[in-house]
Amino acid sequence: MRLACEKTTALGAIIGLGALSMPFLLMKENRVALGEPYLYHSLPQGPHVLLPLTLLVLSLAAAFLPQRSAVRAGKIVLGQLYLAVMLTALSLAGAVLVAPEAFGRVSPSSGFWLAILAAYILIQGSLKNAQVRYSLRVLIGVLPLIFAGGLFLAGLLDSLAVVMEFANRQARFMSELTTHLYISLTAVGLATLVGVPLGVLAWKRRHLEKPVFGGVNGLQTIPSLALFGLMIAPLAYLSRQFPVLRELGVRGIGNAPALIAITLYALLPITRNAYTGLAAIETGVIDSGRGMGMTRTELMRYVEVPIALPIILSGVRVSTVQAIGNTAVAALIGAGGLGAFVFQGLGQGAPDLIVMGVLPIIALSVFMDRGFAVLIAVLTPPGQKDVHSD
Amino acid sequence: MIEFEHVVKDYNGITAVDDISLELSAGKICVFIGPSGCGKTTSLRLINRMIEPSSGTIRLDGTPVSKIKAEQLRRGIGYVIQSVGLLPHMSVRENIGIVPRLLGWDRNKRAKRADELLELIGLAPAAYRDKLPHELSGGEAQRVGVARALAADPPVLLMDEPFGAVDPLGREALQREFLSLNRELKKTVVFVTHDLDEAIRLGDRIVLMRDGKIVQDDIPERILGTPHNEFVREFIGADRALKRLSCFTVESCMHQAAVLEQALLEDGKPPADLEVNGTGTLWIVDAGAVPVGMCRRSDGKWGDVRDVRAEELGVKTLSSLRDALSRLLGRGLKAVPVLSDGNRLVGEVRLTDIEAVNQSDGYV
Repeated sequence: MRLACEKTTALGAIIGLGALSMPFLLMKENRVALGEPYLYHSLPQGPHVLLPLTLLVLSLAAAFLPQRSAVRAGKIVLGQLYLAVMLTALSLAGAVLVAPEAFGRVSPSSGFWLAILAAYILIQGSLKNAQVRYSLRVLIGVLPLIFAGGLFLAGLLDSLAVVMEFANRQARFMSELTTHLYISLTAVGLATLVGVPLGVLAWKRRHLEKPVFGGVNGLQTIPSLALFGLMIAPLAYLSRQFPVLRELGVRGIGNAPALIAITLYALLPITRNAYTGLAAIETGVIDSGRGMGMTRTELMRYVEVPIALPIILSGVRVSTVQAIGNTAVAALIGAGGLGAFVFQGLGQGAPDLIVMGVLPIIALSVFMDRGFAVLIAVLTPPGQKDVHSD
Repeated sequence: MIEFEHVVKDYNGITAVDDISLELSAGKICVFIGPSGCGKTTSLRLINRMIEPSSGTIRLDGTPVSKIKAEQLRRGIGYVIQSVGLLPHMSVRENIGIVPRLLGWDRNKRAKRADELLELIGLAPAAYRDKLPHELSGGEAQRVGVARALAADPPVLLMDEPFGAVDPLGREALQREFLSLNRELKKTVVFVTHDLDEAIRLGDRIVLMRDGKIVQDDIPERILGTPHNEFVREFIGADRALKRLSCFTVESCMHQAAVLEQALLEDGKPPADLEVNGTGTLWIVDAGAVPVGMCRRSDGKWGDVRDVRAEELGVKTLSSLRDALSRLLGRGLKAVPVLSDGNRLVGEVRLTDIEAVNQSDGYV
């Protein structure tokens, strides 16, 4: 008899096994020290290595079973348990390791990150193509986050370098997070206000299609750093010439050039999708709408907006994720935001500070992306569902 | 009634419609036909002001359409196009309810009207009202398109190649249905097509156009029988005798059929002393009057009873003589049964009838 193997699960389990043979965490005497690596089995405290090993072997075995829903559920539970074991080990071992050192701290290392990847593959691989309710999917996805958040709030992750960096900058963290959100969301808002009319214009006036897309495409090809740089000189000049602008906070560096540059970047996906969304409406549909006696406004309300809106929103979604990333770079020209921590960490050679800046950026991107996915799903009329499902 | 008075439409020096004057009478189907670019679609779209004329006047029941607000005018005129143009995000019921919605009908009234119309076009409301356009076949979508145009009961229907995208079999069914529908509804229909058979089958009147001008404006029989010039002759083609048969419905020359109920067969044969007139064909029917067999009498004797499948062999009362002829020749019969909606036998058409019609104007 031929053995059927579910490859995704097998891959996840093998990566998980590999993770156990790599440095699990680094013990550092202070924030810039290189640190001493510890493998999982040499940790002074935490669940015995046989526990994660057993979970992974069971997952591997499950890969060779027929993929019934019970087996899938089992794999998800194994993945979640594996993740929980890793977090617990990090917490318990960290606490023991840093106790004797005044400035001691631990950082997760390659083994830990690989373990996260392995768990992700195990869990998501089992969810793929499975008939699982959306709410259950979300719960499975956020369960590890809730567990990690619980550990953090209970003070059980205080030995982690990232947490220490955070504890030292709590007030600033909130203000940088706000700045980050402010810059990226304002930019996307502005880009929507400009980009949607541009897309509509390109659709209505065929001769403007080329110049409009030539423009927004061209903007996209300029590297973000270069565009930030390009903004400095003209804005500094304008700000010196017009005191009004200076009072509004427009200077060569800071918020203003960042906002402008990120807005320009956000234009392309929004403009393109506005155009595509409208172009996707069959001419017959518009013709029959007019022929039935719809006014300009009614045509927009009953035909153009319902059909094009989901596509326009997916453009805004792409732009938002992009803008959150670009805002990180904007810290370089003094705009602030979470990127400030990243560059500070780079400057000080403190990798944990970098991680502290990067983690919330990733979280923001994922959160916005999922938020838009839900919004689009809600706003997509039933007849269009198959056209752009996510 | 729709009147065209010296209507001209120019597009940057190209004249699409060149000084057309016409009067289209109420309750009739008038077909605009001609090669592509002849101005037939432009003429149609001038009526509901989808296109504005360069000069001239179009009147609807005496009022120039330019005096009526375009949207208001269009809401009072049914509009069906080749691509149907059902709104893809709305259910069949919502699509049918669009014009009523624009006119401010409440939800219940719209829903009731949609069900009525689905019934009328032969789609079961319970099965179809909640379907989305992409779940419909081409023929079904086009039926819904017609229903949508009829929703607010407009006196005038504009149809721009409405059945052009449907396969030939489906198109014939649609044409037949539309014909019987309009016998009941008596809408003033302006119909654009490039398919002569369709024009002949549907039109009470055919307006043949070329280069923006009317070449011949006549009833179908005369267009085929007495073409005005070489262009018309060419457009009609060499098979005009055959096409002419499309002008006549089976109804117009059907005969009473000789019928015997199945139960009265004796040893599988009709009674030996039973005589029939005409072609000597006897139709054997079941208790519901549906033909199940046929039998020919020759030399005073009955032949064997042949099994017959009514829906395959029979024609409908509104089918064309051309249809009937094709079945007669295809089966090598002297007569075919004419069926009502429930496949009940209501008469027969004979080969001799068709010959008589064909010779009635001297064409051979």
